[in-house]
Amino acid sequence: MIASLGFQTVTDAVALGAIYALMAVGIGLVFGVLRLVNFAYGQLIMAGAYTLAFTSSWPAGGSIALCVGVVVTLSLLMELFVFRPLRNQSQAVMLVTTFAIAFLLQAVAQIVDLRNDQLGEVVFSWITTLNQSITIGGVDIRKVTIVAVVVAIVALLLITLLLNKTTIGLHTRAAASDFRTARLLGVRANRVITFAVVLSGVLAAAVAVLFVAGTDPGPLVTPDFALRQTIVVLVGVVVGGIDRLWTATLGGFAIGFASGIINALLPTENSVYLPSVLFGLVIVVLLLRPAGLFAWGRRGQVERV
Amino acid sequence: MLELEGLEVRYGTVPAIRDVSLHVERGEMVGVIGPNGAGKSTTLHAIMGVLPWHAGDIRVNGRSVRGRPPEAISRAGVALVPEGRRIFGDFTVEENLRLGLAGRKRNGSARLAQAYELFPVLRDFRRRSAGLLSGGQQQQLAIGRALVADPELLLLDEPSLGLAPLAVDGVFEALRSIRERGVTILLVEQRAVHTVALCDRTHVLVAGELRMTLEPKDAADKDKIVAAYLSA
Repeated sequence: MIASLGFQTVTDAVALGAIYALMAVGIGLVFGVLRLVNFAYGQLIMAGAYTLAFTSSWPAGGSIALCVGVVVTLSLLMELFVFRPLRNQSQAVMLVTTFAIAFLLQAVAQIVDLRNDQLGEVVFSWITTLNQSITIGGVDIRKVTIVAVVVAIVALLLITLLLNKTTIGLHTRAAASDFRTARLLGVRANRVITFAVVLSGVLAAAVAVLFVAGTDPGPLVTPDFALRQTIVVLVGVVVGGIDRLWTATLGGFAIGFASGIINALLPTENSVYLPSVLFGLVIVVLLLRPAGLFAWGRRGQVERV
Repeated sequence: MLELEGLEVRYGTVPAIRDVSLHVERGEMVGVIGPNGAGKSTTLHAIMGVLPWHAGDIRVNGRSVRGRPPEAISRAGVALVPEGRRIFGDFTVEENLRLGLAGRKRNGSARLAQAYELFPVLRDFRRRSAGLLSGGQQQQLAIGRALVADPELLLLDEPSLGLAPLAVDGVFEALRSIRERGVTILLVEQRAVHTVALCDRTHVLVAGELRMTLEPKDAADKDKIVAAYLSA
């Protein structure tokens, strides 16, 4: 069936899956160390998109650097003033708090939006070039599709290296696996959490750039930017298996890829049903594999004597 | 080195331990034995900063550790071998040992080498997933992980729990050689005879209170140990 869809559709779906995978890693990293599903992750991406819009006349490099700076700073502020004071509260309290932050940031964006009513339709010089197509083997692919996939692969490789080859990475993995024991061994809680939050912020910034760059002509930066996608990715992360980073990442990719394909399969006049079909699929998957789609390969926790 | 003075820890309103006072001098090995639910692990968790306490004090090298987080206490030179070993099963053996270095910056590789010397099997399996080790090997790993931190004070929470008899002997053998290296040890155990025989003195904790102190010579006197357990 996929073969009949055409190469173009599949590559677009792969690119969407790649971006969703990055979001899944960002959400999964913070969940690992804080056991917190950060519902405000989408608003971090939104803040990044606004930064890009405000600096659209800048050279791409400066604009992107500022976007990373803003999103990481926001992430750190969130950790310092919200997550840290609430760290010993129940998960429900923390989750509801992230809803509050999400709405707060969205409200701030609305105010900003009202004062700058031109923001929605800014034109980025560098995006136009990214949206040009190149032809590979007789198939047209937009450059941004390739960029998204490459950025995702490089980012995932870098994060894998950081987590597996560095001491702070080892400490972060330990904290994600058993926080109390890690602390008993001398792992500094604040340090690993800050590390995870910063990484997650960098990923949110990267996603903001890719979302902005992927929309042609000119992105519509609005207060609900990336909101719908974040909800989809949160679902994907749960479907994949949230308690492990790689299953969460695969879940993010899978749901991104699936939405790309379903979107292409649905007739244009029925594309409004995309979420219904997608979430219907999610319910089926969760019924069949409640522990997560990719929960196989997990070693049983056998007590050894 | 370590002093507990009139320590009381409560879970809600229920006291788990009451008026527990004991001390461990540098180079000593002190035991705490008692039945399940006596408050042995609670005592160790309080020392490590995992549980807050309601009365009394805990001092390490003369300084109170009240309000300090576990990582700070660990970095101050106290290492815990937790109950149930708490090995990171998905990590390699070497990664588990490197976690023990979390509070230490220098001489990491020399310390790893020392741990491998004490437990050669860990060196053979260093690239393997720790979850694949046998229970006895995992316990060696848990002890090795605590030792690489080069602690002044080593706390052990039932290191023989759930191990095959041969592995139990191995654990006590390892404890003996660790003591010979001059490490100060507080050992919490259920294997009363083994513990009393090995430690300089052994306190009996029953229902949250210290009931009796036994000496190595009491190890042969099973009646006395049984009486201590039943003195509720």
